[in-house]
Amino acid sequence: MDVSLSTLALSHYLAIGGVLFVLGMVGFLTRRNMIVLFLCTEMMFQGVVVTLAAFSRHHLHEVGQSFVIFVITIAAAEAALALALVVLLFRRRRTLDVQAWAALKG
Amino acid sequence: MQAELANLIPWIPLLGAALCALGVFAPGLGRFAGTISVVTILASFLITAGVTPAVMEAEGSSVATVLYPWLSFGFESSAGGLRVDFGYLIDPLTLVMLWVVTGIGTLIALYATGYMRGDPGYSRFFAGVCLFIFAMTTLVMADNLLVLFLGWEGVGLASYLLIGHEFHRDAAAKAAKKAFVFNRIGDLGFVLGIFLAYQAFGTITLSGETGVLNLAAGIYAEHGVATWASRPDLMAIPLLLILGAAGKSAQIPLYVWLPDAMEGPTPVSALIHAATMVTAGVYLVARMMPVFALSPVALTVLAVVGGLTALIAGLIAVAQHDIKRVFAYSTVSQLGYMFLALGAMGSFAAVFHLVTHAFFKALLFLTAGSVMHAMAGQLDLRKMSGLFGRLPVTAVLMLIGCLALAGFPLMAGFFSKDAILYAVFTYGSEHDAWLYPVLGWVAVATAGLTAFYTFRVWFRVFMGPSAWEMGDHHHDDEHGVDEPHEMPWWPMNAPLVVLALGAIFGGALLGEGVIGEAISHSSANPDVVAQAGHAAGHHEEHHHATLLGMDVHTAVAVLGSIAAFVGLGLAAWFHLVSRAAGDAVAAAMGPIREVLEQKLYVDEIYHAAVGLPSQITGFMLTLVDQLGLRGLVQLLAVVPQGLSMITFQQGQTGRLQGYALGMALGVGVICLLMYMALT
Repeated sequence: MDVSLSTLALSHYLAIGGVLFVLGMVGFLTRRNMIVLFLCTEMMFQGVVVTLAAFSRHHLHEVGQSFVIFVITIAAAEAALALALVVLLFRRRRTLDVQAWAALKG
Repeated sequence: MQAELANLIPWIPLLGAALCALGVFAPGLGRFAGTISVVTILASFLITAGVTPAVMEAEGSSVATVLYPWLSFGFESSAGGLRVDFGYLIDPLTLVMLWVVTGIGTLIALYATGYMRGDPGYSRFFAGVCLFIFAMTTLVMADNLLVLFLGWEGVGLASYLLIGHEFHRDAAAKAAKKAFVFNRIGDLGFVLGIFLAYQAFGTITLSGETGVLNLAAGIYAEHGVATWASRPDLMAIPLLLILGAAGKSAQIPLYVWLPDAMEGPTPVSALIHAATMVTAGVYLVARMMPVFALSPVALTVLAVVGGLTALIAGLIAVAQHDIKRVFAYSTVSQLGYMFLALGAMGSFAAVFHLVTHAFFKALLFLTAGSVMHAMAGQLDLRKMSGLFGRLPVTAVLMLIGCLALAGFPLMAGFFSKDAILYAVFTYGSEHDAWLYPVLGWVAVATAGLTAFYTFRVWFRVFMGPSAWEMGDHHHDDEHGVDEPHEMPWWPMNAPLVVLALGAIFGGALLGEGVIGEAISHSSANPDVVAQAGHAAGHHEEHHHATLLGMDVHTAVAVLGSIAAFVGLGLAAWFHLVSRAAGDAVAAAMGPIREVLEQKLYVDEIYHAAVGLPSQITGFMLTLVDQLGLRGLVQLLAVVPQGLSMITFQQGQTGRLQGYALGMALGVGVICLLMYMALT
């Protein structure tokens, strides 16, 4: 049985998405460990993804779902690059603290 | 309904995997990881055994269940949406695979509880084993290609974890990486095949009237085989699936990962080589037989790839010195056999050989593990001889495995190899395809090779004058003597005895009557497709096949026996009776032997063809970047640098999170402005 989401349910999904996004953002702003930072960005991604999927369902339209696939794909690519970067940075300084790289300021 | 119990089969080992993984952090629980693993896999095996009668009696001998709707892309209101359910299909082919996977899996896990004792990664190891069984059972029970792919990838992940179990050793880490990368290459083909199948059939569900398999059989009945001109998609799907299967089942050109995979602990080699992972490709092709029947090109490719792999891997195995490496190449070769049978639409022969091979290859690897255990890690054939007196139990068990692998008459391998030869020769004569008899003779020659390299190992290790050199793998268990010794613990020997019984009687007991019956009641049965064709008037000449003036059945049995005896005899002459003669022949074959010993330089060729060009390209790009672009960019950068020095630079703290905060605040301000503008 497929029914479009009622407005009430839609707002629930949006709230979840918002909560995920904000939690990710707070984590990103407060944590020091680079790997945790990337986990937090992933969480922000997922917040957006939930919102997109919910809107897609609400409008009974696939475009939102397509975007979800794109976001997940790009998130995977980004995670692969980011993890490689983290490993390289770790090898240089033997620490995962982002503050260790403050000297990169322009 | 009783058959629904089968839905639990994958999930119990997954629970076991979770418990073992917890055991990594809780040493109290970790001590029981081996027991947990054995019990959960055994539970799956018992369920498999329990539901078998119910499934066989079920309508059409198959039970399909949907656990839950998994993905739905697009909606019912719009046309052409994709809907994938997480569903299981259990038919006789699935049952055969489940018996093998959970049955052999239990025995290997039991052996491993003894073999892995004292390993620092004990709990982690068994978590991997349980995960492996979960993925493999998911793979064989999948009712659609996406769930099958899920299990397919799960098996890949688990093999990566298990091969790299001793990740601190460089060789193991590299082998794991190699297995992973080569499997991904194959997976690309598989994924593209799934996409194309969805385009061609409008579904990726396997079972049922509207499933892929039935639709394919229907197309065959209506139009006969496809051609590139009429249905290029139907021609391409099986070819792409072959690429995927070649990656997982270690066929040319993607076989190079499997021999290295023996860097994992020995039970892992047994698990990967015998019971689970590498048979996935064979299973996939057997399962998709109606789709393959549509594409004669794909069948030919399959047969050629299989025949070549069998021969080349057999040749390489002759010149290897590491026991496990010989058996690893033997696995590649035997899988080639199965692919050859599939290429002749002999899904019964392929699955039959898969089952008997699971018995004797698991037995061979585990006895090789016993030798390794006895010799403190020594596996070099040149450094051991005449061990029969020291390891009588291992020697006898390995002899049984060797006889079965060599296709000695009345052993398990004899029957299944015959079935393959029979399938290939009859397919050739029925379709007037000259290629198949050629491949059949290649397979006969390979059978002789198999007998030769198998017994080369056995005679070298256990016969001749007693002399050995211990390895450097000292395990400090209770019997700390520096001499070869039998395994002290019965759980390591008991599974071997069961496997040996399978290697002796498996062929005679399980042939046409059991596995043949099972295949004929499943979608893998090529006759169903052929009959569909017959009903629609695509008649094929059915002349009575003969080979060498004999009935094909008799002929292949005779040929197989002769090949086995010749190989065995040569091995006995060169490695038992007169080792000097053997060494002289080996010396005379100098360059050829050298090439085979170096595995035909395939790794080096891959490195030269793929690795080196990418390295050179990378170097050139770096050069261009460093010499040319860098200066240009720096020149351009002078202007903004100068500007920033007098303006924004004060705000640059170098703290990533400071910038992020700035961004967040900026977004907040924009949101606020928008809100104000809207209200």
